[in-house]
Amino acid sequence: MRLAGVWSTLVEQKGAIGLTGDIGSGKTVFVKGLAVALGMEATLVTSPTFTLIHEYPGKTPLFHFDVYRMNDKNDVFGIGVDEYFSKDGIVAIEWADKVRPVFLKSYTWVEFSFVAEKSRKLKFFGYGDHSRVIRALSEQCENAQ
Amino acid sequence: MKVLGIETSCDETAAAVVSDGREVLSNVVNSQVEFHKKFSGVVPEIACRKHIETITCVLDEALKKAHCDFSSIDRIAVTNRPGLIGALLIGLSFAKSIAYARGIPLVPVSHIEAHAYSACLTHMSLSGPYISLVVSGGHTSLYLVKDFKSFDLLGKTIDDAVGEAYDKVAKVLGMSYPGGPEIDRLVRSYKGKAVSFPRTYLEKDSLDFSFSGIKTAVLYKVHPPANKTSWEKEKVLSEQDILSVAKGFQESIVDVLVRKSIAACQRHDCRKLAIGGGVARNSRLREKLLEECSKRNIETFYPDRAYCTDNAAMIAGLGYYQPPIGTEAMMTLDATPTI
Repeated sequence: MRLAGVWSTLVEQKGAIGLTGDIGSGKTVFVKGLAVALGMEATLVTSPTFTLIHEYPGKTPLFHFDVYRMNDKNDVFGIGVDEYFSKDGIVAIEWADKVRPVFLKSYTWVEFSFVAEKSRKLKFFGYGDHSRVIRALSEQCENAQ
Repeated sequence: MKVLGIETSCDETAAAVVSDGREVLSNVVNSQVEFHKKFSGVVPEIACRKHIETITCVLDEALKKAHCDFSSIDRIAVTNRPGLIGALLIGLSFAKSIAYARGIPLVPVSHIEAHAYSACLTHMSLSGPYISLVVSGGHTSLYLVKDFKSFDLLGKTIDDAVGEAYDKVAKVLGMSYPGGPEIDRLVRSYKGKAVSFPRTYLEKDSLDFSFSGIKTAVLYKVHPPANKTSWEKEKVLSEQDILSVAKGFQESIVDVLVRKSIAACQRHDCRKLAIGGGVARNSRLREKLLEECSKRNIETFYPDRAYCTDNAAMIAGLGYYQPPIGTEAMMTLDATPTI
């Protein structure tokens, strides 16, 4: 399945996306894809490891978190993650497994793992309203076959 | 003219008084490193809370060391972009209330442009046009500085910042945080071979940077893929291996920074190159820049160590050259997380 379909489905859904996987597994690149699906420049998206949050404005804004240097949910609440959740946009959080309790009922979860040097495996999970993301993705898969 | 600078964009709570943009009368930084160390990074909740707790003490100290009070301050300069919104707002609100209460003009300053300016605090006669390379944990940018009112961004990283690449590679190599200075220190005394890593220059003529490729290249060198999901589980490298990887990584990074900085100088016919940001302390970068720039008759300018990392002196310094805003504009002035 082409990732463009994944990105446009996620962008349509809006809301929270948790990204998890090791250094170099493709989390930031995935967020670049979301930005492109929102009509933004891919080069706008850079790693927020040090800067913690990058906000990309637009009709549907994209809020890009990186909690690599944080410990637990309290740290993310400290930078107001709940305020971002209540905005009408997309909140993508890298290293989300460190702060999983901050996610509310509905969210998409993506796990990245290594297959080979230029190949990655992505696993998608949808919770609450986001379960329809998974249904849409499976339909796309079937249609592609 | 005495300018009071206030900076709270990330980890440091800082205040400084600078005279006429150049002479630093005081420079106080309340580093939160002690708080952060045990958590191996910046913990923003602590960062924001500490800013509130310490900002008045830091300000008092800055005024005291400069032997002045509010009546002798002619202007307040404050970082209002880019950074962590919660942290920026503390410094900005604080600066606004002093400015309003005491009737002192206020000027908002960009944190990254202030890094591009920082070498001017050490080199009193440095003036534009010059090229500035800003290298830190969060930023990697090249600017053309004509005067100090506007900064032309020539290129920036499209993925990871250089300091971030250093820290993540250090982590892959099993070093402690922060890893950048550690790699520099270990490689300095190592005379052995270096692993050869690719250099990412992007499209021809591009002055943008990309450091995520080298990060992944190091990862594969250290842990060749064999259906592993975690790279940190195996630590089979000898000390020699680690050093040769670290050296190769550093050579690759430094080559790209040097080549792009020189290309920017040549394209804009500048004979002056200033470096700013925490990575400006990197000894290999300094050595290589000196070597390559002197061949081409380009002079290099570094800030003192104290002005490489986040500080308020650079904010006060640059604030001297930029126009203050009116009272009405001050009321609506907001912090911006992005450039």
